[in-house]
Amino acid sequence: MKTFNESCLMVRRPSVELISYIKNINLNHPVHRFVLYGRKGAGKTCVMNHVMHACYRDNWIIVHVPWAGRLVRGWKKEITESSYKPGRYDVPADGAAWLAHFLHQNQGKLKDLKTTSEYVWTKREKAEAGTPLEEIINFGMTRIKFSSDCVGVVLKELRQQAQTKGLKVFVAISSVNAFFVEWDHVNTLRNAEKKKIEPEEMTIIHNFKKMLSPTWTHGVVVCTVSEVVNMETQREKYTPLYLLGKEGFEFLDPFVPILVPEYSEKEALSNIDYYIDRNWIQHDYGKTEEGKKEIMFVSNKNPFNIYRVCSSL
Amino acid sequence: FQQTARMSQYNKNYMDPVLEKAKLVEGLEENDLRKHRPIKAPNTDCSISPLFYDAEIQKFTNMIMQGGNKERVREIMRRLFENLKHTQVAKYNRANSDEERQGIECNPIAVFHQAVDNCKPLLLSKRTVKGGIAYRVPVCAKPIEQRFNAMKWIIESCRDRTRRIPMEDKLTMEIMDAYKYQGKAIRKKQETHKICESNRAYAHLR
Repeated sequence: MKTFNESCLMVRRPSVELISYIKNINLNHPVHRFVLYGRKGAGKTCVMNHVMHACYRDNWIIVHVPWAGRLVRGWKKEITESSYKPGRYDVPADGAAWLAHFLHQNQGKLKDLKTTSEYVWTKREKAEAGTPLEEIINFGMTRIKFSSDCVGVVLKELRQQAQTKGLKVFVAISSVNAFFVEWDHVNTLRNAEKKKIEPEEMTIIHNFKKMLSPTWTHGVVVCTVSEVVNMETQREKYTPLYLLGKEGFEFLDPFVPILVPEYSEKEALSNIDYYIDRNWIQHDYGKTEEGKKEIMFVSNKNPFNIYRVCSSL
Repeated sequence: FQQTARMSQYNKNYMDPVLEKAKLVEGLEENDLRKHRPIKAPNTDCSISPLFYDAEIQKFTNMIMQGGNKERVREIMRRLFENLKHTQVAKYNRANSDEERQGIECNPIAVFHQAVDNCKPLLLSKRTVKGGIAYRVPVCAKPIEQRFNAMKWIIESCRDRTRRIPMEDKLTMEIMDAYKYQGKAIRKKQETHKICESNRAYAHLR
């Protein structure tokens, strides 16, 4: 962004397909789920971002989890026990960060939304029925102790009111398989007794999972499944069934899987031409026909690999 | 650089092969020696790729490498060129006039070569013992020695810095400084020149 003074997206077939599906959706049905899958670096998150941008233009409310892996792992994260339910754990910093992100993304659209029921935080603090959602978000950001519960409140209100108020809610979760799969590394989250925490025991993840289940209407869920989030032994294939595991697949079933393939020759050529146009490929040989063919061969037309190869030219 | 001692088993008669496709299609003239002499087999390592191979850069990566960890060094070099490009292309895109744009060199490989050239010393001091006393005698540096010293000083000055910053960032700063005749490696070269200048009297002991 800083180098080129602009940012660009490539329009590819999976994103056009998804956008046309979403435009023809009947919102009164329970939530439709789409899962984007593909090789590492093929562009699943970019396709999801493209679709998210199209829906943002169209006045949808966006619930976006940038990378679910961040919620499951971390170095030196504070973990507190949830005040709402025993046996569940909270990461207050993550909750507050997500609330800020949500507020930033949906700046003008949250004005009319108000809570329908009362929420009691402590003996002295409570949010009555009818408080605007923005107040609850600000409360969560300032009182970090309750941030994960605030996340839960916000999502619950969105689900309940989406139909009554005619809202359209777009849920985008990157690397959904982090919610369902174990992560057993040095930087796993552990509770006070140094015992590993499962993803189901975390409040934030529990709340996001409720968004994925087809109990509400007037919304769309688009997820990506990525190999990186799984353990190193479980990364053989890139299909959703393998990566989500048995629990995850049953949770998300039925869904519409969309393959995001690597670049076709035309797409790869146009990407390289864009780099040449923006003065990114500086090598003289790289700008010739043969050089372009060499780049495409060496990177196997994988978008991420093309970026890596061209960054040193 | 002509290497005189080689381990190749080829007879001196054998000529080097032509690797560019365009020249292969053109064909050779009647008088061309290659029609009448045997030709060596072409190399199949990365040195045939004009895109990715450069002799000086290869030497530099080998010098940074520790413990045979070529993967790690290649990653460092890739990020180094990317950083150089980011700084230069950002400046280029924000330049207001065409003259400024012509002055900015965007090619990271050209920047790298220029930085290494700026660091090359002309004289080096060699330690000679005569009559029990060790003199530091200034000596003309050969091209290979110049290149080695320039690269060595750049890498050493990077390794001296804090370990919190990754190597590619330190290298970027060092190379951008050397490109503008600033920084630790250039100072090392200037100090070497000063030492040689102060010991000029002993030049005849070479």
